[in-house]
Amino acid sequence: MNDIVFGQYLPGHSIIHRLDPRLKIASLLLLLIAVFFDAGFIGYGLIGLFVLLALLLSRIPFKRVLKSMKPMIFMVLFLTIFNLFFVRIGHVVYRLGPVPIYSGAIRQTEYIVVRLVLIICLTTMLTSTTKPLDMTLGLERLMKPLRKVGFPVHEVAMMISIALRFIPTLMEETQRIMKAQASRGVDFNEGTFKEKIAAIVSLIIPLFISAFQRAEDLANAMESRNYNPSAKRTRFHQLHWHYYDTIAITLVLCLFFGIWGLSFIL
Amino acid sequence: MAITFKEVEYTYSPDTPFAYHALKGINLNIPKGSFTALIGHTGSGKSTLIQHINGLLIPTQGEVCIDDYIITPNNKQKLKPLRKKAGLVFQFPEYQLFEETIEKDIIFGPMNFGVDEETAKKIAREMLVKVGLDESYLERSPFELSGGQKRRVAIAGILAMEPDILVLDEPTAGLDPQGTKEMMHLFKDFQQTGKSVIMVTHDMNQVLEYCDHAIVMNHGKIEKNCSVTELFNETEYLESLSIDLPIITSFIHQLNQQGFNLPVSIRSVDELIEAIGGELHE
Amino acid sequence: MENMIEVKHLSFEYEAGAKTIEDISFTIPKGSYTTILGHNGSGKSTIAKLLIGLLEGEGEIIVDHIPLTIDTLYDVRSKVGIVFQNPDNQFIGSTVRDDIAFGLENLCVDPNKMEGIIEEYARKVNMYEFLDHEPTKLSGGQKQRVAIAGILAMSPSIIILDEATSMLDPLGKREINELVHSLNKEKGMTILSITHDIEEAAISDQVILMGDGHIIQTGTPDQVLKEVKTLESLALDVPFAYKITSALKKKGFPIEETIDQKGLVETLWQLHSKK
Repeated sequence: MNDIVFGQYLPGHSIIHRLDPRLKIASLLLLLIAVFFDAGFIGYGLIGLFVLLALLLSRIPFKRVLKSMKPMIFMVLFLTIFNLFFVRIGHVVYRLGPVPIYSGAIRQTEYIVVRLVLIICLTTMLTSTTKPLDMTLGLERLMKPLRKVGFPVHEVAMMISIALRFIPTLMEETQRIMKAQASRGVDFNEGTFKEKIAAIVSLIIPLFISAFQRAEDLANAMESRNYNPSAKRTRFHQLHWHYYDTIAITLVLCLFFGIWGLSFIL
Repeated sequence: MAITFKEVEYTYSPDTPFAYHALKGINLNIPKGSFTALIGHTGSGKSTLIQHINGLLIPTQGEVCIDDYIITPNNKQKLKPLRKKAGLVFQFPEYQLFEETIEKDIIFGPMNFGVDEETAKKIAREMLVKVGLDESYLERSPFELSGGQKRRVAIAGILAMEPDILVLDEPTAGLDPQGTKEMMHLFKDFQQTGKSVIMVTHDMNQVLEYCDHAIVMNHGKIEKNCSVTELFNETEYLESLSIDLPIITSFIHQLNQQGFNLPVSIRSVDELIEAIGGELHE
Repeated sequence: MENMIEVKHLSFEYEAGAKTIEDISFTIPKGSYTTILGHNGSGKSTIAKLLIGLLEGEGEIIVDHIPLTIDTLYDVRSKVGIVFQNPDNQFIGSTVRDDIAFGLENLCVDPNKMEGIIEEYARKVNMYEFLDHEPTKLSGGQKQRVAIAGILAMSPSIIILDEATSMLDPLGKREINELVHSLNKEKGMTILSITHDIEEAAISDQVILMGDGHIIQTGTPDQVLKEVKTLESLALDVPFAYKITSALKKKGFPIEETIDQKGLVETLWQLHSKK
């Protein structure tokens, strides 16, 4: 379980950590779009350089970024093989037995791998340097305009933050129920398919029942503290826009438009 | 069915930054047929210790012997038979119910341990009566019961495994006085058939009334392993751990400070009244 | 004396025909410590939910001069703070700080003032050092103290404890009891504690004895807790001091039944020194 690095927050006090979550989410979106502009390797180089700079500033260990790519290795491999064998653009540069490899295929494969690596780096940067709570808050603020079309922005943000709050509690609960059922002779590791199904049922049902019980208790506790989803509330966590946020967004915008422009020239 | 711990150590998530040394040099011997209380604050290692008794946790060092079962850090043997021998009732066991009917839930354990359905059903019936519910409940869903009744069904499910050792983690938490009393009598009856009961509890009144042996844990170590009477004589030690005395014992201490001479071994209100009466008569 | 809560002819049923609460009426004087005593399933916890409109029953409920209706729902809730039984399931924020903030956000308190309020009440419940802790790192007693801080920050007129200590270890129990008693004695906070702990009832100002959805008796602990037959028929304990005194009286000693343990030590000492 501890191997899953992708999407986990890594506490820190770097400048990247301190940047406004709205800015970080917006930048991620912009750069993800920029990754798909066809600006050649100069474009990717620029984004790569930017990511590297941000990574250095954030003081996230390289190891962690590499680790977060681990689950993607299979996908990268699959896409590489698929592209190499099936894309037939340009001239044949190599023959792998009976299969001809085209120059276009190599170029495209390189593009795909680079794109994927950049996407993972960018996303890991965001999730590693932004507290889940700040992320929710940032998303909520950015999605605010959607309220005009009837999208329940506040409610969704509340749901996300409660889900985040209860994940550790439910993990503990899962452990406890597994142990309780193991004490009743359930074997979660071995057994026939039928036994495995029975084992899972003996875990899932109690887990659901207790989750529903918690949900009801929580709803009561929230209401008793005057929570009214449709009423106006103030927010304790305020997002403050600093001068360095302005600098950062200017940089990101420059990069974005630069690469966009580059894609027309090339 | 004796229980022996020899130099047992246990560390959660060893070799990680989250490593937590929960048990430190545990040496312990719990004789067969005793009713042992396991006392200590939250985080003192009680829960970790009891999970070693049915092999849910394997010691990171040392060895645990349950009867002829010897569990060492590189354990290779099947633990299932051990789980049948030592029935473990977790805190709030009502949350482990999941079958459609109470009967199915009670026979779930025994059938996992290879008991045939017919025998299991017969045992289920007996156990249901033992925990104070009648046979009419067998076909009902466990989820329509009250909290206290659910707990009885869950405990019947463990008793139906016919264990030799019953390990209980705060079995009466949240029950009302009547429910508590019935539950404790159930465990006492179980012990009186020659089997062992080990109970984690915070309620010193229960310890005084039902247990004969007490183990006190603190910071992952065993600090006291003695008879209940001896334990409640150590008022200063208990106070240092902010463990309350049983209401009877604390009352005796108060009276003795005022010139009474009551024995601290008194364990029931009736005995206490007799003794006070005796002193006032003299 | 002024009443904080007035309940008149309150009834409630979860399912048609099976009344959980049947025609109960009681008052809770301002500044008092009242206990509602009953076994599990006596309907006592339903009362708490009715009082703040989480459930809707028949009858009249007046909280701090406000009759509870659909329109006054949030006014009433802002006057009443409830601490529920399960410490985990009422911890809403991801840290202690955020949890105390939750109620303030609902009351639309100015965000700039929140930090000060949060710190003030965290200090009151001795949880200041834990402000940035996550709930999984806290004990049950600490979580309940945070719940109390969250409620106090909303400056309620009354605090209801719905079996708030029944899942805690003795240390947690003691901490919460001491905190609540000091709020009652020093700040004059009205307390309503729903419990099956007879010894807690014995040191309160007023006891409302519940059984099967009815109020069996209301009065001072002295009046209510000496009714041994009634208590036993309701699956409740009898106070320890009462057990001793009534038995000694039966044996012919010149002693009166009492529920007061400290007084009993005194009385017995006098009897002992006179002999």
